[in-house]
Amino acid sequence: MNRIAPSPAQRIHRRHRVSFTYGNRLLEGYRGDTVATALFANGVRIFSRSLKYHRPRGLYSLDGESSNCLMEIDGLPNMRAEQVPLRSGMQVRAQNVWGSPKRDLLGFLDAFHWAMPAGFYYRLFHKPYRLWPLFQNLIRRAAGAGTVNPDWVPGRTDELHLNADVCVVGGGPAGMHAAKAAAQSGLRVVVLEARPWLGGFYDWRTARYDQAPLFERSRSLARELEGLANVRIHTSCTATGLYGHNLVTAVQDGGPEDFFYQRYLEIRARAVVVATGCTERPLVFEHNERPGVMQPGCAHRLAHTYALLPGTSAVFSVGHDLGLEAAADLHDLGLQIVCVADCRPDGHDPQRVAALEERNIPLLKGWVAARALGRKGVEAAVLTTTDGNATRTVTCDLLAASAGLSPLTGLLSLARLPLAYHERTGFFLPTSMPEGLYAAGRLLGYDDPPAIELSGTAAGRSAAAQCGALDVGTAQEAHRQLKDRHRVMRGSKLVMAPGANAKSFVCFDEDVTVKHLRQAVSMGLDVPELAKRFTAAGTGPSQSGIPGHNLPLIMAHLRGESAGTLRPTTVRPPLKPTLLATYAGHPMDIHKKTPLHEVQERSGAVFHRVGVWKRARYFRDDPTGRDEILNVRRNVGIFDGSTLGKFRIFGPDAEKALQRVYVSDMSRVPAGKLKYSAMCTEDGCLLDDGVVTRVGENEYYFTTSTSRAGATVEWFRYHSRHEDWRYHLVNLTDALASINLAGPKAREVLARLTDADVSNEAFPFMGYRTFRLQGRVPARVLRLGFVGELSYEIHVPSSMAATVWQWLLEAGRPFGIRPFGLEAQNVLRLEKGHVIIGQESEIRTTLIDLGLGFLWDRTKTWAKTVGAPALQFAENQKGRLKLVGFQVDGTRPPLDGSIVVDGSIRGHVCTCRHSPTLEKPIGLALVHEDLAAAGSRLHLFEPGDPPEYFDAVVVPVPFYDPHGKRMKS
Amino acid sequence: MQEAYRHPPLTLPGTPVQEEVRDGWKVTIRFREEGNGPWLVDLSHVAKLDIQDPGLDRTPGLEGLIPEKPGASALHEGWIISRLNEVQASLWQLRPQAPPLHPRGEWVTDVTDGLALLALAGPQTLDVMERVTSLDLGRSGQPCPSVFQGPVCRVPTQVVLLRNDGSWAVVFLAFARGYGQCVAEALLHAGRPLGLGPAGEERLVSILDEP
Repeated sequence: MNRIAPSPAQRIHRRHRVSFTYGNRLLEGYRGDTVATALFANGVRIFSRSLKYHRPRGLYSLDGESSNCLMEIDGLPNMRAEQVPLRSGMQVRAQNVWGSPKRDLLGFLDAFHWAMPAGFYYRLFHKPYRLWPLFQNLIRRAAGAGTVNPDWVPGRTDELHLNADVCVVGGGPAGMHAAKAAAQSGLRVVVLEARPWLGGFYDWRTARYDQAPLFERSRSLARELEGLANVRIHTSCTATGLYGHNLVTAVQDGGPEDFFYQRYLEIRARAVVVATGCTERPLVFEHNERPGVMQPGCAHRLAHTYALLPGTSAVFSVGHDLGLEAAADLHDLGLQIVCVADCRPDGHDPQRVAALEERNIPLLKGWVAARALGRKGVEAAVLTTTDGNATRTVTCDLLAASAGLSPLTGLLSLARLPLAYHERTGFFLPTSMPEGLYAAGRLLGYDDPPAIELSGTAAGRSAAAQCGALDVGTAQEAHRQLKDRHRVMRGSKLVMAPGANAKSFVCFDEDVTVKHLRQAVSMGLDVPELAKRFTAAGTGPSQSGIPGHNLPLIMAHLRGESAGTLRPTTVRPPLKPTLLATYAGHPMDIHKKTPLHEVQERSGAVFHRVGVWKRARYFRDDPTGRDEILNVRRNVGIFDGSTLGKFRIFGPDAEKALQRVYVSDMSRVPAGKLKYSAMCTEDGCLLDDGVVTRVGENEYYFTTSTSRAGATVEWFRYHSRHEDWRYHLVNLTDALASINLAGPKAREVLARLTDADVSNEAFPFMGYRTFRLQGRVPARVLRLGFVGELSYEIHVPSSMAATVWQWLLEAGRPFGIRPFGLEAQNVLRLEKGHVIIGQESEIRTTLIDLGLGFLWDRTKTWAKTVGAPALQFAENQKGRLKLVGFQVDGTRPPLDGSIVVDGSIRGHVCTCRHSPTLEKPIGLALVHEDLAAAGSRLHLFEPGDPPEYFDAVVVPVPFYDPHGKRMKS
Repeated sequence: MQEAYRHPPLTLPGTPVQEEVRDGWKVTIRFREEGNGPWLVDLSHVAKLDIQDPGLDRTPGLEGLIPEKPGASALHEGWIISRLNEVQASLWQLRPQAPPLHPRGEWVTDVTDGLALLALAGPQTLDVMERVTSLDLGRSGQPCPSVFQGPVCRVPTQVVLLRNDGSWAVVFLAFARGYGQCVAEALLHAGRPLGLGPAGEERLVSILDEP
């Protein structure tokens, strides 16, 4: 390994070597290295090849702004090697190469860049169109970076939901001061920092402020912050989103001591301070992405943080004072600095200029890098004056280049703050900030330590004042001091060197050059949002990390307009690529089980997810439920209906509430009897159905469908919100299990469990009784007929349901009892022509369309029943869909959802099954009115590969026991 | 021993070494290895009542016991009484030997079987909770006991914060019975790195007995 003498600012631990493999090479780094710095230490200079042209790419930055260092690490592709901490045993592979990064067989593509102008894929590969399938396959194979391994298993993920008074995003000097100021007011503070440590751009710098080098100052401040009990700090944690009410989302990568691989965080804060700092603004010139070209800050950090000299002989081309500082400092560490070109004609920090002079480093003011020379790495640099009138070529193996700084405004963009060009700094910044959101530090254009720290303090105090923990005057005082004593920096305006053209890369990820942008502008795609989509600039893995704020600046220049004319493109979350497994979180599917889940499981039930519930679809191996269906028709079946909504409503105005939501007259609900009714939407469409019974003075018990149970209380409350009614609702859906005992022998089974008189005379159809089972279990028993047989719904306390189920099975054994599932119930009720909400009903179908208009009491207009006006309007409307029963000519039923056709679409099949009872395929369909008469012929289209056609005839419903004799027996 | 004919909505992992049948429920008093906490205790068998009436404070049998303000809870002789909103309160019998409360009137509904009830107690309890809910249980100055309503493991839940001593806390979670098993498993998964494990009723009673 090639390391320089230890720096006091370094973050590697030289006593701890770490072994890893790269391809088939066994290499070493140190603890504290990233994968990229460890590779760099071992002489790797070409990390990948670019997407389109397969140009060699090297280490350009250390914060993942480009895809230059995307590598496969431990089986996971597209990892940013410059941000992944090195761990023992890691397996690192290059990707997007045919061969190796150094000798890529697809490298010849670069020579054909002329054949790939802007947007060429929109025009080239489908003329003639019959060639498109061939090109499509070729492009798919060549495109993309890494290859997904479907067998890769993510480590454990974690999630945290934090509540804070102040959330500070960015752990640099401004962020730390903001956190400290807020914490000193006694507030709960959360700090998020993307790097593995606090410190920001102080962390590697030996320049002094207030008698200490900056790196020492930041570490001292970090220790102070870590010691505060009301501050929580999360490092290696990137804020990925900012949403309403100051909800911040973030993703944290686990360290070697952490139990998680990746963690998702949500922070709900009363105030947010964004102190995300700046990135270096890429300088655009010919071959600006060659290995050996890197950001000055990257070069500086390689030396101080990782003890690596970035080259042997360097040229700097900068637009800000940090570049001057880096050059002088690296000189002291042993890097030969050939010269420093600074595109600014004036405005340099005199101390930094003096430092270069002391070291005999030539400073060329008003000069800029125009071209990097060399094939697979930098061998020389061509410098030019900013007006392009003079040039010189300088030998070097490192070209540290940037055009200045760009603020990291991603989070502010997510807050939907419009950005405008700030003339002095050259930044795109929000014109205003909403209440509760504050910005601080270099993000705002401050670049000297006192200003940066004071702006952090000011933001922290403003956040504290927002939370009511500090008086507004104190908070404003800090802002006044900032304004009075400090000024934001004057930024360089040059981003593109003279002569920038076909090899001047605006977007490294997608190989988009200045020439491509020029082509886009000339074709009328002359705003960033259009040019982005046409050229693909900013759409790569780094999501505008490199083009970012450069894109609108360069396009404005190409249009011959001033810098602020255009805006950066829309930023969308997440700001950092995140594993879907991290967002998915806990692998468990949170669902509800009925109290009879285990007993059904023991009987061989096959469960399916239905809404939030797991329900038994069928038993044993027959998904059609044929034997279950026939057993209900001939003997007795037992079914778990526990998901049914069950409610208690009581109070002096309970009846009024029922009248409001149910379409029937609910004043005539006698005790001991059930009333079947329906609820409609305001449009008169069927919303829910169920039965109601009176159980006491001003008290009722009612049921709803499974799917509506969760919304029932709200529905009642919403539609009575302007009334002064006294009534209360208790949701008993989970408190009571419902067991449906159905079949001609159901009464005999029930009679074995109770002394109550369950004869037909004593307990007729639509009756309601309460009695005890086995003298112990209280039961509410409803005599209904959903499946068309003698049937009881037995509602018992959920804790006793499994016991009752076992009793019923034992009592029913001599009668051939067996459980039946949802599929069997589906067919049984279909044979009776009964509707299932959501299956036969849809958003367009009113109660009358479904043949349930008889439930609607037209006379109770005083009740203002929900949906009644719409029903009145629709009652005589022509051209509506109607629900009909049909019988298929053949033996196979078409699929649910098949279309009724006769040259146009005339309806659709809601449910269609083969009826074991009737031994023919039957169904229910919604059809145009003129097809609804019995005897009408229907032609059905079943989509598929190949599609199929069926013929059917409309028949009366119910299909089975039309007079209901069996269920009333 | 009485017959246990009532079934709880969830089963915690672990080997019970002491159980008791009470009113048809088989209650685990102690598990073999309960560790050092935090602990998860199933209280789904305890009596739970829902009270709804505009004149809550005058509920016969509960006069003066229901907290005045929504969000407030009170511990009364082994019962936790929580004011959920202007017209609704919940009552849970935390201690097995708690004297029965007999609120009278149509406004009382026994919801014992409708809710799963779990206790989460011990060290790092709130650290577990912040992995499963965004409810702000750790707000400084939060009076105890108090009741929150919001999602836990994405399930609508009533959360009673009984005690918070900084590093130790006691929290009760009540939610629809059907979610019982899933939520218990989700809590155990989230809390596993922090040492969360099941415990029996005895553990909870001893925590409640602590001053």
